[in-house]
Amino acid sequence: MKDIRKLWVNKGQKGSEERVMQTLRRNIRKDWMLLLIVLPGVLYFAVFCYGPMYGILMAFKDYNVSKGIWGSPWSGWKHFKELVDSVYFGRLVKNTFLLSIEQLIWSFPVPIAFALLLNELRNNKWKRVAQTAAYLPHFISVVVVVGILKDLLSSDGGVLTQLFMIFGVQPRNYFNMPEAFRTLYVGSGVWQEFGWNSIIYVAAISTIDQEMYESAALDGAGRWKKLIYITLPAIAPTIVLLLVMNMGNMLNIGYEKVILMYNSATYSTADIFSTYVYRKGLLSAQYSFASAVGLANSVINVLILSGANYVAKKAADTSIF
Amino acid sequence: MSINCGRVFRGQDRNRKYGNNKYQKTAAMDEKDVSRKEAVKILQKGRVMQKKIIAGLLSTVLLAFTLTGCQNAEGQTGAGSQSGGQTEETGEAQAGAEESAEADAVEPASVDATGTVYDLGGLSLPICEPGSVSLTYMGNDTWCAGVSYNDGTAVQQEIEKRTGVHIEWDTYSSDVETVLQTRLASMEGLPDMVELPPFDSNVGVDTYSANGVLVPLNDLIDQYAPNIRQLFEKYPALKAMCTSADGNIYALAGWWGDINDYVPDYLYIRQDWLDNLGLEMPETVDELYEVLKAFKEQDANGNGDPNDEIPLATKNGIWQLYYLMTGFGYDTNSLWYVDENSEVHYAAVEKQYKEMLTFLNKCYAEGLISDDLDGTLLTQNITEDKVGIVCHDPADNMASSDDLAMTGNPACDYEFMPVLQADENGTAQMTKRSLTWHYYGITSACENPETAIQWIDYVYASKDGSMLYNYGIEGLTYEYDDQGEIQFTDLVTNNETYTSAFSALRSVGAWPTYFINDSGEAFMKIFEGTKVETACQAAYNNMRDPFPEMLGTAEESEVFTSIWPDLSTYLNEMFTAFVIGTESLDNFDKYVETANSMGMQEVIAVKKAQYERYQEIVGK
Repeated sequence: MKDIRKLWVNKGQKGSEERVMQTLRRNIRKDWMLLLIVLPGVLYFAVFCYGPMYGILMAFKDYNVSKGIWGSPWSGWKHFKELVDSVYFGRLVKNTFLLSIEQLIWSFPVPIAFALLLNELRNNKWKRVAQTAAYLPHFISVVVVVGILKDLLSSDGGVLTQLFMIFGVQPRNYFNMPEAFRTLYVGSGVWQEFGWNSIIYVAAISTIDQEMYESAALDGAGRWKKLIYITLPAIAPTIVLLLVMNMGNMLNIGYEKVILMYNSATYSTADIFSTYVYRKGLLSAQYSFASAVGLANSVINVLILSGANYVAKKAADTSIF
Repeated sequence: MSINCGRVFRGQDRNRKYGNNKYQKTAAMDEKDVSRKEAVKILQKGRVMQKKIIAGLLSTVLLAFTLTGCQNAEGQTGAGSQSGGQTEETGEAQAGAEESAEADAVEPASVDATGTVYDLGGLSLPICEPGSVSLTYMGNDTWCAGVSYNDGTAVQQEIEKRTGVHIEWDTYSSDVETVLQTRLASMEGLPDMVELPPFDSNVGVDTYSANGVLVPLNDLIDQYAPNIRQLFEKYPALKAMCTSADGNIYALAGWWGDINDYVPDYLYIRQDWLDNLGLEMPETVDELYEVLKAFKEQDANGNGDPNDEIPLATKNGIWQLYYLMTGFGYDTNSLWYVDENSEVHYAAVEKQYKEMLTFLNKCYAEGLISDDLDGTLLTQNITEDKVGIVCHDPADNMASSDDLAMTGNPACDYEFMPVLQADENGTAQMTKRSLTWHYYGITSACENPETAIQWIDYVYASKDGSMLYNYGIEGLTYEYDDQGEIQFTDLVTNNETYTSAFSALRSVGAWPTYFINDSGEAFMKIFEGTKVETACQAAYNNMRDPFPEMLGTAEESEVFTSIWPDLSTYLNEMFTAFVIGTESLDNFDKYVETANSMGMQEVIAVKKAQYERYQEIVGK
């Protein structure tokens, strides 16, 4: 507690510790509801993101379970060198980047478009039905989604396969085609998440002052003009903000779905950093090496995030830090 | 929450033009009799609001992440609650089991109160004054949903009654290795007896013995464990696989040597399809090809559609097709093998292997092999009466496949295939399944290692313990009929909750996961009179031991674990590529070269050193 107090003492101010504490207490009393709202998020990051951070040390050590993280011998950059020298390094970088970029290109604009379309629906009942229907896939477990996908595309009798056959496409097993992997991954992802991701845009649109539309209508603006000159500018900051954040998360593709979808025929396009970490770290217990790979991934993420943020600041005057 | 977001986003510069004031005005006008003063207040409040809103937005975003986090864990939670549901369902069965065990406990505590006592092999029971010694055990839980050792089962209680040793159970149904590693790493809360990872793990028996977690068992076995000594004499391979590189025994391997003498693990084929098409059981590569071709082109399942048959499908991945290697000049279907000069080989990087790949490539191109490369659709396809040959499964799973397919086609009849031969005079043999499972050791925290080893001697190696283990409790799970033959009761053969006999036995604590030493005879008893028995009998004494599964030294583990994961990915990937034709077989030499550059020869050297240690111990 003492340390905290010291922190709060501002050098330039004459005020005693007492006064600072008073201000702090007052602020807490005033904003306790906001603090309460922030709390789960802060806790989440503290426990699941900051807490385990000291595990990063493992990347620079020859981690031995019996010696613990601190007791294991230092190994310097050994594991990073091993990663860069690995025959798979080039492929992992390429696959991770391509998959992330493709994912971003498709999964980012679709929710915006959907939210804008929803906004144009005048029948409230339909609007709600459409919105709910679009959310639903979000709640399906990814295992089930992949199962459905495999069934739809099964080379004997899958619904989509039969549909393609009408157009003269020979039945093929798309899950065995390296060139089809990214499309399947991204396509199913967009289908599953676009409704859910549109919520934030729908909310942003819902708060646009109706009077603006009314005055625009008086000036003779049609739907299209309203969309271009009112709705889009109004939600532009939201879009930029989410874009920057999505870019920061770009390389954090979870391994679960990829592992469910890939097989030895599609490794060449499907094997990404996180699946590699999974195989190395969890399946063959090379914790230090896996931490090194994970850390390298995170560093790249931070760089992308900073870059995107910088561009956003310059170009759109919006940024997250 | 969502409304807030919008306002903030609209905030910033543009608001100064029109948004902000207007909004405040409307808000103020809504309240009809608001005085000017109050309106100002609201305006001020609005600004505060804006700040609050920004904070609100940030927390919303944080929350959204938190929610995503939760959602990812959803699948697991779901699974958890599902098994929870099963607990309730099966509660009745378990309660029944406990009831009968309690009924037993009421009788005088003499050992023979519950029925026959079998050979104790020189061990005297009870091991200690009943209740005077308590030991802890940590490891896997029962392989039966809803039943936990931690809650006690009939067999556990019976063992406690007979041995007098009380066991505190600390078992986990998943992730047991992680629990173990953290617990063993911290050296705190060490159990007395512990389950350890299998022979090829990076962190296993060797690591823990090196840092003193495990106690050497050699002297204890010599002094207190007559049955384990006999077991070692009967199976020199077991002794070899329990012996660490320094010559000591730190842990006992879960032993499948007995059961796997009986249970073959190979391809099985639809006998009824063969009959439908008037074909013979394929024994050579050429015959196999003919059969596959016929399955593909004709209407083998007789449903009127000649195109829905999948001639050959794999269970866990297309790489399993290496089982066909016996058709191409190999003696047995094992990638690791030893030639007559005691040289260790890995088949997948040898010239001969290319022939098999060429054959498989041809089959795949003609649509004879399922394009479901990782086997996820196998169960579904079997159920839909589509799969001709399954590669590969142990004999008991053949029966389950039958059950599956019979829902679609009652005539379904899967039969084990004989080992594929290169020609009529071939003598190739099947390789047995793995002989060991996890290891089990006594830790340095154990205050009564003498009692512990005797208890282990009883459950792991004695005849009496083995009866409890594999057959359960007389009167509950089995009875003797008039001829003195063991017969399983309805609880096992006709259980409504647990349709498989193994699950039914496991629900009362038999067929356990600790100190495994499964009996082949019990297995045969379960499948008595079925075609599984026939298949097992045909294979008995006609199978080869797998390549020795030896505990590695620290250096060997290091070499193996740093090279093998990447290398096996590569081998697996190339196997697939060669078979499905994305890589030309002309590149086979290049593939071997790459494998060697990735460390194939180092891994072979490790396996060779281990094989030599094995030979030394078994040869003695």
